[in-house]
Amino acid sequence: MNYWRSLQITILALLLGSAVFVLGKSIFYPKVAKPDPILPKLASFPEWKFLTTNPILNSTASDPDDTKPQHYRLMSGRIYHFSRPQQNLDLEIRYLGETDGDVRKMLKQYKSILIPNTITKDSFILRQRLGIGSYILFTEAEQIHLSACINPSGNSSVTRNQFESDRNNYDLQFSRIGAWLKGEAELREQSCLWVHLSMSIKNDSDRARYQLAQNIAAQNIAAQDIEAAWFHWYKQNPLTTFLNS
Amino acid sequence: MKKDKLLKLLLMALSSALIAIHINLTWRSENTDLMGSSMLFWFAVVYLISEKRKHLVLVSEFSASLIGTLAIALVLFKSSSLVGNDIFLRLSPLISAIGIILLFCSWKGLKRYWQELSLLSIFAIPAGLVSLLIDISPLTAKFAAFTLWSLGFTVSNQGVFITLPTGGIEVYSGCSGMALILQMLGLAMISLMLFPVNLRQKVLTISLAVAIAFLVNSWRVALLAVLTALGDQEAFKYWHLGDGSLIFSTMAVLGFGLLYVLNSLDHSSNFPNFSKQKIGSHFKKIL
Repeated sequence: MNYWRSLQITILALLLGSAVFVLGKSIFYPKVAKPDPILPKLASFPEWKFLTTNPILNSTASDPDDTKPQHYRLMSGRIYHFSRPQQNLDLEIRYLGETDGDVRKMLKQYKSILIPNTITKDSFILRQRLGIGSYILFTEAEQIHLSACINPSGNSSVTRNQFESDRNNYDLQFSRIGAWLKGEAELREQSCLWVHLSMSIKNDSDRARYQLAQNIAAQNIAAQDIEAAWFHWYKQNPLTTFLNS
Repeated sequence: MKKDKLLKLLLMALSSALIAIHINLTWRSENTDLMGSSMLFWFAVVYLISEKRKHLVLVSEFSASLIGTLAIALVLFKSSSLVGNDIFLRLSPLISAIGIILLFCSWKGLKRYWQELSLLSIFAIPAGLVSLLIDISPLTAKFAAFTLWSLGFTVSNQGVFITLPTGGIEVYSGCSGMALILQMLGLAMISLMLFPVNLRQKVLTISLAVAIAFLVNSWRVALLAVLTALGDQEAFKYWHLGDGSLIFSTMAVLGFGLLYVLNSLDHSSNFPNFSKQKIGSHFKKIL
């Protein structure tokens, strides 16, 4: 009995010692959050000429219509401009913290583009590609847009459900517990790299085709270019290049 | 016996250190909701335990001690690298309490201190998770629209949208008031444990807390809708995320407290007796 008590006292003293150490560390040397990822100043697409790039600042200061709640914290963002004869291509990348992966809300908040609740209309196409994930395609203001949120597991998703199911499939794994305990990973990663491509529609014939034929087949043809750009970008830019920089 | 005393002293020091670590980390998380409720819950738990302090009997069992040590080690390890607003901040008080109880009162202690543990369990529930299961935002929107309508506004409501002639808002689950409801539920449980009442009053207290939280949040949403319609951005920010949002939760807590005291005065059997004797004696001790 006496030995047992002594052992207990020893264990407790050890625990207390570590607790005091942790307390001191958390007061005097608190762990600082990982720095926001830095987006590269260069980007390239085959067949497109790179023009210029600018950082995207948090819209709170500049957006005149800022009565909308801020759901997603913009950690860093950059816009890249490209061109080729008669056509422009913009690539916008935003690294958002604490998201629920809902691209519809991101488009509404940052681009003031309203997507109907059900993405089934002909003008909004939700597509999936093996090895990449989902993305949304739509036309607006004589431009064709492609938008997707690349989540920390490397898949791209559009809706909250897709994002959540990726979180459950990739994040909640036993092998990640060690990294979580060490503070290197979140239990469920909530950030996402939101990529938005917008391309002007090439020429009058394309434009006419767009306006006349509001059907998926016609859009497919014009969408090929922007999809090609997206697949290229996705393959050339694994998420880790941003997170480790 | 000397060793028992030392053990008790170490136990108190360890508990205090764990509480201090948690409060420091929640302070750094810059989450005012979490900060407020963790202070409240720790206060209640420490008070409840100190009431039972005299009857503390050390019981130790190898398996319980082992699990308890591991639980506290886990909390310390994770706390040392915790940064920002981690979900672990909600769980660690419960894990710490289980660890401490297992170390000193063995498995039976879990039953003995069920009140403290259930308080910390309520604290551990994240509002976001509950909102995923039960989304009350359409109900919040409906009630906010109803409030505006009764005040004479021209208002329409469809699902989570509230529309006034010059603008409108969409009530997301984050603004549905679930956080406030959980906070008030915790407050109700704390008051029930500090001032025991009969079953009828228990049910009344809990429903009162939930109803007040829901009402107050709906009023906040109604105010936000009006501010959006007026186009007043500064005011919107103040009431949505700024200090204004805290005024509403304070209103909820004060409203609950007032009704609770009024109700207790009506049924003067429990509350006043308790307050005169126990609180009186505490004051004597302090003075």
